[in-house]
Amino acid sequence: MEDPQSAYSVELEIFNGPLDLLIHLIKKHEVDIYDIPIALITEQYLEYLEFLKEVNLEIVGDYMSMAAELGYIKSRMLLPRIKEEGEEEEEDPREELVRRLLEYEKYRSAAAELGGMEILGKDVFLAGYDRREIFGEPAEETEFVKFDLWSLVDAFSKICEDTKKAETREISLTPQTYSVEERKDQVIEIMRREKEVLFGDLFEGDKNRMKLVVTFLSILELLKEGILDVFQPTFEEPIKIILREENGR
Amino acid sequence: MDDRSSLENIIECLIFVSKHPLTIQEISGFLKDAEKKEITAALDELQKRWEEMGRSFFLSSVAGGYQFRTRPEYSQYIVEFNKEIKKFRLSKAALEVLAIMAYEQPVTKVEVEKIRGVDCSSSVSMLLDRRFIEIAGRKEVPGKPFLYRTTDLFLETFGLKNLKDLPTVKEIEKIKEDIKEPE
Repeated sequence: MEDPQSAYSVELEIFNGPLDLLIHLIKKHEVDIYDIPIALITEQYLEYLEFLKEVNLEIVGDYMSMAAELGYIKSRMLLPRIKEEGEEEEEDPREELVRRLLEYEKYRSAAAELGGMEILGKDVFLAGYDRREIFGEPAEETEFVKFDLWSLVDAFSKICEDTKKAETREISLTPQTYSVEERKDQVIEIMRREKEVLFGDLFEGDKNRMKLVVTFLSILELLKEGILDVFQPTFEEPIKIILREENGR
Repeated sequence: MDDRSSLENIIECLIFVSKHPLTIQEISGFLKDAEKKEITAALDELQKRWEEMGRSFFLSSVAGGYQFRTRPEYSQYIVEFNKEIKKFRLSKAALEVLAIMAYEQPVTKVEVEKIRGVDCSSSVSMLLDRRFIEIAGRKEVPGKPFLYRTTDLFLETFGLKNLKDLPTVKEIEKIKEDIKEPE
């Protein structure tokens, strides 16, 4: 089982790390991996980093060090360098990053292929005996093989922006607290009733940023627990959330 | 045991009752009179016959052995019928760690983290718990970190004959194209 103390890191692990995020950004903006517009990508990257900080993912260290690296590359590209006589052509400061991205992408696609194999206990089965003998109780793990979670973050950011515009400035003196646990129960209730809802609709009634974040975290946790599932038929269509299975809750 | 079809039948029933993929070594260790060549031929014949019969299960060769498995097109009936079955699940993160370990083994956690750019501790401990990976020793570098390798259960679960049977890793050029996703 997972170490209970690393609860945050587990949560963070559903986001697959800084390289995964960079690939998401490169694909999203359809830029050439050999000619990454560092300024644009860095700026975008920092926005996601803000998001990760905001939703209280404590361990953002890996993301921070990548941000520092991006900043360093950017500065090296800005500074003119006087070439000395006989000196070799300086390598593109982005080269090392590109190499890492390609290396990572190689394994990422290998992992996807592996996930597409005829898997025992999912696609193919054995006669009679119980596989749990071997597997033990399955850990609470969700397959996020098909869905890119960063797209969910994109959708969430958009909702936040829209809400910001509509937000009427209220000043409340009593600190309000919203609990993820409570919100999770409410979300399950909605899902039991509706079976299938648009991702955006789950945020209806969330008038401030705190509430939005709590709802988003609740959805993430329910996804992690395998109670909800996400799908997006095509890239243009809105993201839908579906109820996966009754979990005895 | 000079009748070839009876050799096939004997091997078939051994595979049928075996709890793990039955290897040729295990079969030949038991059927001492039969030559390895005969056993291999019988296994090939069995696989062919089950294939031709078009039944709902087939004789697969996985993890260096042989095992009867249901065909993937029937999975939904099996899962629906047998509510006890907990469907196999693995997170994307864990799958990535597993893939890297499968291709790069023996490998340390730090080496995997270097490729992924992110901490992998909880995935590694989960994969260890589920016995998809195991400790293969320690690396002779400062700190002597553990080396990991994949297990036979990994091969069995993913339907692989051996490690050479892993899907081939895409070439860099192909990846470059994929990332660009030309419209």
